[in-house]
Amino acid sequence: MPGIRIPIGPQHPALKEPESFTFELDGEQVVNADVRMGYAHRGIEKAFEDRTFIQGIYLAERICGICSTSHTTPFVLNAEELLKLEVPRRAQYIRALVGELERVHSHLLWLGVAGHEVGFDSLFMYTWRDREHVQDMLEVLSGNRVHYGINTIGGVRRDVNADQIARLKEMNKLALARTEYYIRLCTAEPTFISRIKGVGMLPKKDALDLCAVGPMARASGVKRDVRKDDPYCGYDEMPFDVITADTCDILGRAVVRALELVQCYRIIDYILANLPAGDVKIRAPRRIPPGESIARYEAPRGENIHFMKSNGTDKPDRVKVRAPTYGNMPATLVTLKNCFVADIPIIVAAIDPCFCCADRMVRLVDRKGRDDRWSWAQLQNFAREWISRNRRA
Amino acid sequence: MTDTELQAKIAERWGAGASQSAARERRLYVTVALAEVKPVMKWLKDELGCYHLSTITGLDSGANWEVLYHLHDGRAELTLRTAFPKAADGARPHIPTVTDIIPGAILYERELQDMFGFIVDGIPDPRRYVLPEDWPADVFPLRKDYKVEK
Repeated sequence: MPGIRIPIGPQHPALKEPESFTFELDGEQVVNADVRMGYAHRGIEKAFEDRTFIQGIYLAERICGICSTSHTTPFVLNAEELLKLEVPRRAQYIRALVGELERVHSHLLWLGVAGHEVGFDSLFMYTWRDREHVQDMLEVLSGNRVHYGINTIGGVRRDVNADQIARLKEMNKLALARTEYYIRLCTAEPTFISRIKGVGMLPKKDALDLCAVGPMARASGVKRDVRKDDPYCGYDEMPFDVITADTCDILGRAVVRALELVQCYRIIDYILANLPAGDVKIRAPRRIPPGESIARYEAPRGENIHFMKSNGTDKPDRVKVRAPTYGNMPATLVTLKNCFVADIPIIVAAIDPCFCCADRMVRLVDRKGRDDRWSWAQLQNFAREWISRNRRA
Repeated sequence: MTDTELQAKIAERWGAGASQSAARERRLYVTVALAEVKPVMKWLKDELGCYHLSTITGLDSGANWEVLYHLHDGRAELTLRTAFPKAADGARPHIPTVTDIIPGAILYERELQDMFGFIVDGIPDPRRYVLPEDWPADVFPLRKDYKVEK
């Protein structure tokens, strides 16, 4: 009985963020897939036009909860290009360092989610445990786990000291050892492989025609990586390989991401050993001369592109953002065609759709030694009081 | 292909029809008339290997509408751009679809229709993509005359 249409989303247990898929089914087989996005559209491009460039950095940081530095870096690169600023090399290396740590935690997160979607929850728990080490290092470097606030126009806001470098080296060694285990798992564990091999096929021709980006394109044999093709932040000096696979399925996407982790550790090692001396920031004017600039950035999920137009004031005239998941949507619809209903969650997860990982409470140490844990009733009381205090008249 | 080679090839084929500029290394701009967008894009794809469209940017620059197609050939970012005057009566501007050349353009064109009110002629799927279904038909948020309510 062909022609049955089932909606999945905007709210659905299989999806972590609001988007709406419509599947046309023939029995258990998906004949056609359609997607509708925009449920989480926050009008950020318009909001940039109302804010100064400095405020814009903080707004860009909040485009995404996982790849936050992937949005501030192109934003400040654009502003610096328009200002014709020569950013210190040390600052560029620190940007690349934070960018690579972000890629490591994002890829580990993805491996866990992929494991979870195929019913391999031990993998989920292991990778997310290891990811905590990376998150801790980001906290050591920047003070934050998610919104690092490291970038500013003209450089970075925090330097890296010898103690942090030593801790990073230790983490890097540990993470590499764990990742080697995951690579063995992705390439040798028969249950995992047979679950994802040949599922969610994206032929190379479709990847090219539909402008797929990142691991999605690379797993279909398209050797495309902004860090190599269009280097920024000193990536042209750093040793790493672009990983591709030609299996065009979810197995390829898993292998590409797992092997990319090893390349990230190589880059981090190189940065730690070769961190240039000098300043981390130069002064930048508030007003940016008129002009246009385009910045491309290899986010964990693929190419991220920012376009900036300035009109000579302290606010941008236009900022255009295209995040990688958006670029991968047409290709995702191809991977969903002819799949089974039971494969939908893992195929959608295989593009690594972006959702916020900010769900963690930081426990602040009270200097007076009071217990900072609140009961549910205390929280409710606090909320009631806060609302009555701040309610508009 | 280096930037100079790319620019020389474009100049040789399109001559005065395509004015070129470069913001820096690997950032090339080619400006053409609206009617030339499709033939030039097809040529760029077939002859220079610019088969990846990163995105399409719409611009409301006062008296003109501008559309920027961000292509790249694997190395250089090549932005094909066109500008045309706004209609005096406020009619919605028309641009041709490029999905027959680069199918991956579909969502970017749907977004342009939603956010700027362009009418993309020949678009295979004209439904809304970003804005909700009950959004007023004549309000386009990224136009400069749209002010955000505080």
